[in-house]
Amino acid sequence: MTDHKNERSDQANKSEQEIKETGELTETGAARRSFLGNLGKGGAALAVFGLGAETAMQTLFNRSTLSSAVAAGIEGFHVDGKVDGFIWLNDRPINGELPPHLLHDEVTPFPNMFIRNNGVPPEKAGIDASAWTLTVHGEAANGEKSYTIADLKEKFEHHTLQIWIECGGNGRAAFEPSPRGNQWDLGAVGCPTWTGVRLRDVLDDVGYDADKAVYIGYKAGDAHLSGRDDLDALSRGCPMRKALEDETLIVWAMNDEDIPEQHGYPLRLITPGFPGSASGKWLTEILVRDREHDGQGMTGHSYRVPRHPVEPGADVPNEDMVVLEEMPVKSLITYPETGAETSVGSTLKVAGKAWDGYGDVEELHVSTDFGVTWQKADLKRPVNKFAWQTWEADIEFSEPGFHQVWAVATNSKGDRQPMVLPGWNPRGYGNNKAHHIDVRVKA
Amino acid sequence: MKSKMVLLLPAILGLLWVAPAFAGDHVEAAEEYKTDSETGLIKAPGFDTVKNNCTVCHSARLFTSRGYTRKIWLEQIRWMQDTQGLWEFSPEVEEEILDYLETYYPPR
Ligand code: HEC
Repeated sequence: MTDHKNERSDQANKSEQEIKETGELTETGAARRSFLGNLGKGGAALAVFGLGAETAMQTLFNRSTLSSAVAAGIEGFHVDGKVDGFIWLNDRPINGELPPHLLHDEVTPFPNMFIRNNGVPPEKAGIDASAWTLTVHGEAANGEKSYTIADLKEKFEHHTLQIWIECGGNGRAAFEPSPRGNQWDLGAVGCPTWTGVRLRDVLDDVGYDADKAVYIGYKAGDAHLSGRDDLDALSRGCPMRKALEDETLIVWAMNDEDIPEQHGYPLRLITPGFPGSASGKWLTEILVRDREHDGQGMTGHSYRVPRHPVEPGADVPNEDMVVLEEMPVKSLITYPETGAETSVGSTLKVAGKAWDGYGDVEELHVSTDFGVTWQKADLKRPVNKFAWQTWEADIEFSEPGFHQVWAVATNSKGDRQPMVLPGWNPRGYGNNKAHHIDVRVKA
Repeated sequence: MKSKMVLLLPAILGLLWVAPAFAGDHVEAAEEYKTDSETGLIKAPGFDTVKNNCTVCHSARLFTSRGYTRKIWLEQIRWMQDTQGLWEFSPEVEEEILDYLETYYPPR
């Protein structure tokens, strides 16, 4: 584990050096992307203006804190097997997302699955999966029970479900003033298939006091960034009502193969609809708690939102913060890539994904006039609850020029995505603002 | 003719000045310093202390991707001290770190 850590930091340093060598900088990539996004990403005139202005400023003042026009994320850093175009936000810990057009697959394959690590994952080569155990215990459990992966496979019914996972902070980069944390733009979301057993079946097998049990918490095999054994990198969970749902799983396979190293090999939790951090990777323990779990990432401002709306930049005391549970309804346009071209009279097929923390998305609408009029898209039913849903719409433009296509999903409760940024919160969670692409229409 | 030239020069200088003011104070403050190739941190006074204390657990990217007020920087440090195993600083070292972060990585 220690060796593994050192390797990581060498890698980190190297990639940072490479950034320097390619002439520019680190960080403002995400911010800049969202800035352009707000104004109309990829708009020809704007892009040229933006690029020109930035380059000029860099030359004039030899700025080190402005990113070059091309540097989105970390150049030179890569996780084996991930797709070209992956946007690396950080290398220690590893965090990376996808631009929306790389999320077009119906079932997200490994190369296109985002990574949000809070610590240092256990190295796959060092893991003997046959010796990996999951131990269930806690104040409300009837004792303690351990299972090998073979035990889980043998004892309980198997389920393969397609379930999306989205980082709670996806979209954070758009909030002002800027909340701390990874500056995710749009693509910290993905929807592979997962194979495993129901958490409920395992909890039933262990037995627990239903009157006492309030929450489950997990413990995991990743190391805290400090290297300290007494600290967990992340130890979150969910209320019992969620733990007992049909689709809450303990899984050993992603897309019918062993879970990849960065995604939780050899065992992880899938807590659908909740922020990704509730779906613990490298799962080693489940605690049946008699109170809200208080592990790493459960307390303070982490993965929490204000109980009542607050003004941007507000100082919110801990006691006014509540755990972020179901993620809000959301959608992406995954085809075509922003900046597409078409011509008057021809049909442009626009397609994407939609998902909701409570399960099903009911409707999806697209607009080419900033929401004045809406066209209903063809939205597929999910393959199972908590699978994202694909949608498409045929669009015709009646006049040439610069256009935008906006998409808005509506969930089963009738909640719709906002066209403006939803409420600011100290850590920048739950931004489900409608997504749009730019389209240039020729006469 | 002559008077036109006189007017033009300050106008150009004025234009040049608008840019840094517009881009934000941190940019202006950082202008005269190089960045460290290893960490990406601005090599201004306090750099060594910040590098030695703040890039041990995570890359500097985690905290230079955006900037914050002194109050928020301090809150972040306290959070890491309370929950993430960050060590205590002497008042002088804490000052130095906060001065550096506040000056070169303010909100933007
Ligand atoms: C002992 C380890 C350690 C040291 C040393 C350390 N940090 Fe951190 N820091 C952490 C951990 C752990 C996180 C959370 C990382 C995550 O969840 O991705 C973090 C996160 C952050 C964040 C982002 C907040 C977030 O939620 O992502 C900032 C900003 C930050 N650190 C600044 C600093 C500064 C400035 C210093 C130097 C004074 C420093 N850190 C030193 C452990 C440390």
